[in-house]
Amino acid sequence: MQIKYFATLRDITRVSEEHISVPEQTLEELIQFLCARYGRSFAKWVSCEDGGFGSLSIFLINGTDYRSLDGLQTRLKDSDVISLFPPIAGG
Amino acid sequence: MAKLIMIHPDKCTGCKNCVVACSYAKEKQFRPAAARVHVYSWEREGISVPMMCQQCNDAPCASVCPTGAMHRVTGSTLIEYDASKCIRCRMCVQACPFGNAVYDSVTDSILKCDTCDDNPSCVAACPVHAIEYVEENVATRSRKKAFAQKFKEAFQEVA
Amino acid sequence: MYGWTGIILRVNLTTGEIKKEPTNLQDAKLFIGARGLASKILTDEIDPKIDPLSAENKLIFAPGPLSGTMAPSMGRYDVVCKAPLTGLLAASNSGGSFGPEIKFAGYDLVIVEGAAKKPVYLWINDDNVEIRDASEIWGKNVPDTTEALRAATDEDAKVACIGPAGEKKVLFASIMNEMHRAAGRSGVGAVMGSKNLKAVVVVGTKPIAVADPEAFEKAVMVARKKITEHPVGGTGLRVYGTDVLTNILNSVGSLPTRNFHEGYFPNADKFGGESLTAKYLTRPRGCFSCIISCGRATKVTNPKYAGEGEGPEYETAWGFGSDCGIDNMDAVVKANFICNELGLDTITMATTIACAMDLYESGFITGKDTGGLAVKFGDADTMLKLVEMTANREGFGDQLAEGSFRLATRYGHPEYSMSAKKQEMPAYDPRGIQGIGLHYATSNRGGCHVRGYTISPEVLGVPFKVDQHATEGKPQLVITFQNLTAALDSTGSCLFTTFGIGAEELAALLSAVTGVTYTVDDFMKAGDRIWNLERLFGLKSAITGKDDRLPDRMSKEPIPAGPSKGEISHLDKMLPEYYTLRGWDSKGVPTPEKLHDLSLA
Repeated sequence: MQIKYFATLRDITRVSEEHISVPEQTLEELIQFLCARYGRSFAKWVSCEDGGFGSLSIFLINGTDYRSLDGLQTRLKDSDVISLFPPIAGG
Repeated sequence: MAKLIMIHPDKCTGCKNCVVACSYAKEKQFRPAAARVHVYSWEREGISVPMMCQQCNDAPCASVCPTGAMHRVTGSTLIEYDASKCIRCRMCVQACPFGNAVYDSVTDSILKCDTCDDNPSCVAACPVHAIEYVEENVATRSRKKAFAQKFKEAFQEVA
Repeated sequence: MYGWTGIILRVNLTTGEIKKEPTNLQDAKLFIGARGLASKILTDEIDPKIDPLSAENKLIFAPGPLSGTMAPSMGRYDVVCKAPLTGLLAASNSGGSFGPEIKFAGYDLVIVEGAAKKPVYLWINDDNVEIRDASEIWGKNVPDTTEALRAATDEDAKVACIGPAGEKKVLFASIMNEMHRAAGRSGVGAVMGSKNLKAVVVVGTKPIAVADPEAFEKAVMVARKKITEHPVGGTGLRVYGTDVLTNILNSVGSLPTRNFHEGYFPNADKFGGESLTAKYLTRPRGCFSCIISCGRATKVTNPKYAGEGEGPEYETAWGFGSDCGIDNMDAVVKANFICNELGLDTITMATTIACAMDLYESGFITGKDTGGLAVKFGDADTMLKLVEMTANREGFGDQLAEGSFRLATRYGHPEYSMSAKKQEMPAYDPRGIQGIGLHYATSNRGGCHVRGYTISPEVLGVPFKVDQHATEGKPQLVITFQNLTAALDSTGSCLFTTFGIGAEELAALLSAVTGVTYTVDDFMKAGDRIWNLERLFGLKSAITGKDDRLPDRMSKEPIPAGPSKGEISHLDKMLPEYYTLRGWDSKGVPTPEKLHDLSLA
């Protein structure tokens, strides 16, 4: 699947997007996989563990917020585009 | 160890939190004109610089003071101001090369940073650590290191 | 006197009279300050039917009771007048240090009346106030004006001025303070120009006192901590600025593109906050007492578009970016610099150009109308040319200077103007995000995002997440945000403090500073009161409930592609409930009971 990174996450991964081929899994498993790959600085923004800001982060699956789907248990397909944002705001 | 207030204009956003915090610490009200720290902004370039007393070793304000109101306490790095001895001649204002000693007509006194008894309000209020209160050697070391870092990155890019 | 200074400065440019009068403290309690108090005074003093560009209009510079204190991010003030773009009440909000400086000079508000015969500027040096000749600086751009006036007065003076656009009464001219900070929307700069007032220059050295220092210190600590610890207020905005929104709005398919034909722009990343930070940012900037620092000092090095200044904000990057079909970030940043230098509202400027591009590509405008210019989506150089032509009312720019509604109407197609109540909608597609559409349609100053920023819950999930496509619960959400913002604006606070604190913390700060006890209910009710006051003025001046609408494109043309494909606005489903919850009748008029409850009867 295609993973897109924005804001701080892009600074950490140093790529704006990448393809990851993994067997069918949930969003939660994907996030855990990426936290393992990119380490604590990444996990701080997308996970709720150790006081992380994960609950305020925005995960989109094909442009739809995961909270409007099955949350972290949303099942992912290989054709999905996943967009990951740390907590952001503006106006 | 001697501590000093270190400014980092590269980080300063021009928000003046230091100015309001200083005036509040001294007067319990907000009067930037009474602050011992001031921030000057160059708007075209988007650069701001906070200014306050440097507590000079050979302090001109203390040298010219005829009554000893402006003086260094033995063993301290601080230049102190004793209003009870001050005759308001404003020689210190004339002498300070940085313009950091100011006469305030509202309170009829000289305004100058006293580091808030070793706990500067401006430092606590700065949201971006553009003003820090640090050990002298630490302050210069971290600045040296910050520039060393830039060299390092430049070399890495070339390599 | 605490928080408020208790004195209003009133200057009549026709007679030259300068008066200082006591602030009506009963009104100050009810309407707080800034947007609220200035709107109360303006609506009491002017006939709603006046021509906004006549001498009968008044122009009020209005900080709030928290302005000048160390409550976090209190650098905002409002410019209030009847707006030339909409005929509604304008309260254009700007940052920097100008608002607090008015307070330090000793005034709650500065009211400018009448019109000068020749160009003048107002020089406020504490108690000494002078109307001075400005003929030498008339015609100068904003940075040059600012520097010339500092040289003529005080090198640290705070200057709010108009550029050539305000002088030429462009209907969306801004008032700029400290060079880069804009009271942008609704054409307050044109009103200043109509009064021949080039600038207001202020130096203040007086104190602002606090009623309850102990409670105030505690409230400041709490507010600072909550904002600093919030990942958005504490770090996100400082690192990326507001333009970080470009990619999220595009990713949810609600980034209006090519005059709102589409909701997705494939190259949006090129003008997003990540690109701005990487290639243009020199350092973050903050308004007075700000702990968030979303301001951007920026520079373009490409010689063709070279310049330096501040910004762009998200709305500006979007407007000159995807709404004009442009992905050239150098040109987008440059367009922002030109708007700031010449004194133009970037949102209306960009969207009016987008409207012209749309009309041109549809064949309703031709080269005959534009003086031979091909005005097409995606053409960055033509876009830049049009910005300058508009500020100077030169050629086709003279038509753009009237805003998109009047432009599209002139060519027989008002439906091409993406505006509500004649003011252009900003950077969030109301087809993809239902609540913001209801807000655009009901906003008291027409198309506008900052008076009911439901994007926060609908897209960003702050402080909680709601479904952007749902209509259920949106009327109450919009009302809550509108009321909270009306009260918040009136304190002098920045809207971004809400990424961390809310009514509770603001009410505590306000109570401690002023000595008047505001409960959360009092605070929210003040917001409701201000909202209804603005509504009443609008109903008398320019609109009826029938104007609570969006362009037909929003309800008839579904978003054609991207993640929000197929969506339209369901305003009709939400509006009746909005009226009911507001305590308005079916025509959108506040009921006598409602007005009585708000002490507005």
